Amino acid sequence: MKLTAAGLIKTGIGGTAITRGEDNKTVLSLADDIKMAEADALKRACRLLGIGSELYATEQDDDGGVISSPPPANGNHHQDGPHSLPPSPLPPRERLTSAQLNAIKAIARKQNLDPANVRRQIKKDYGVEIEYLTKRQASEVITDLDGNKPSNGNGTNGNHAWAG
Amino acid sequence: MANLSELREGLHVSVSQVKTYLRCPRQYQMRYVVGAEPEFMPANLVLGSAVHEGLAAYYRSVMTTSESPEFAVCMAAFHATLVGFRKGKLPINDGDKIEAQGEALLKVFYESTYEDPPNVVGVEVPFTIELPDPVTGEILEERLVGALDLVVEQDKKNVVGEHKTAAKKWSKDQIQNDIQLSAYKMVARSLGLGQVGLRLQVLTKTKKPKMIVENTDRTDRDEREFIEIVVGVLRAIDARVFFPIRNGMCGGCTFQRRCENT
Repeated sequence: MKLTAAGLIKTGIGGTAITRGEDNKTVLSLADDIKMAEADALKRACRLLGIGSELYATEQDDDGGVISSPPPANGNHHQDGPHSLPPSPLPPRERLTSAQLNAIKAIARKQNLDPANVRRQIKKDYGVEIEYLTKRQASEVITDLDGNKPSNGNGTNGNHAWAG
Repeated sequence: MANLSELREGLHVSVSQVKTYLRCPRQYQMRYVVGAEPEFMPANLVLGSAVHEGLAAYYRSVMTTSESPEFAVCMAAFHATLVGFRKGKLPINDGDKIEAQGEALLKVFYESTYEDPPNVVGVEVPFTIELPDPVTGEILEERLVGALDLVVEQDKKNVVGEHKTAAKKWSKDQIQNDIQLSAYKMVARSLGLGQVGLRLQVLTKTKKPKMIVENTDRTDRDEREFIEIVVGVLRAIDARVFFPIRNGMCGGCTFQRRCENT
């Protein structure tokens, strides 16, 4: 069963035992069993969309025993397909920001550093092209370049040789 | 608008980058993240680029004069690009036939077009657009950057054309699912070209080359999926997911040796 609401798509898979006669062979009403399975699937899909959690209240038999209980809240119930997993929180982006990239290039320009040398030095120090630095690495580069005043003459600062 | 190389100076992503990642994440890592030196220039890439320039020269001339130029105009641009590649420090792999193949492909194109040149609106139109994260709604740091091969006007509607050279005719699925065209549809709207038509011009490198023109379109869902793919790829890159895909394409990969030794 697939439910769509506000662009979110959730899939619920339902099931029920087939009701049989006393001889344990005769199927009594397959249509009713299918309907129950459909209702179960609908309930699961609704629950994943956060709709009517009361629909999923634990069902009890006449003696107070549990007939069915809701699947775990993490959605890892064995009947739930991969599509029904609730979205996991996305980790924050690691890659440097556009402003950081522009800052590195602007500082290098201001200090008359050859862009090719700056690129080469970053590759040597971090093993990646300038565009694939992490935010933290980009901050380090900016700090380091900032300390590399043109008056240094030799274009070096800390462990970096920005002038090549 | 700035030219393409200026646009590429900023933090960006291109359809070609996304396609590379989808083809082989490790190839993406080698080419873009690590910036490894390729072992050679693949002949397909050289041929495709040189033919592309030949076609662009033709359409630029049509845009200026409204008439088809001489065939020599296409060939001059083709040769200039080829010479540029040959002057480069990388050897062209299997590059002996490029000249003859390129001429044959451009001839097929020219013969099918010169009598009735289109109304050209733009050639190699650069673009840069923002991409919203479909989950968080935030605008991504990376802008989508690229160039539309061709924009023509037909029946009072703009049509965006994409040139391809291919070993054989594209299948229906390829035409329907190519993400480049989904991107173009979205980009054209943001450039103020309206709801454009999409056209694929495929030059086949078969024994008897052919030019196959396929008109197609994209839905809102296709555009949404394209953004989902881009964001998915960018997040996978953030997470340093760079596994290799080993298949029949490895022989043509410019990082094959390095990849095998990794």
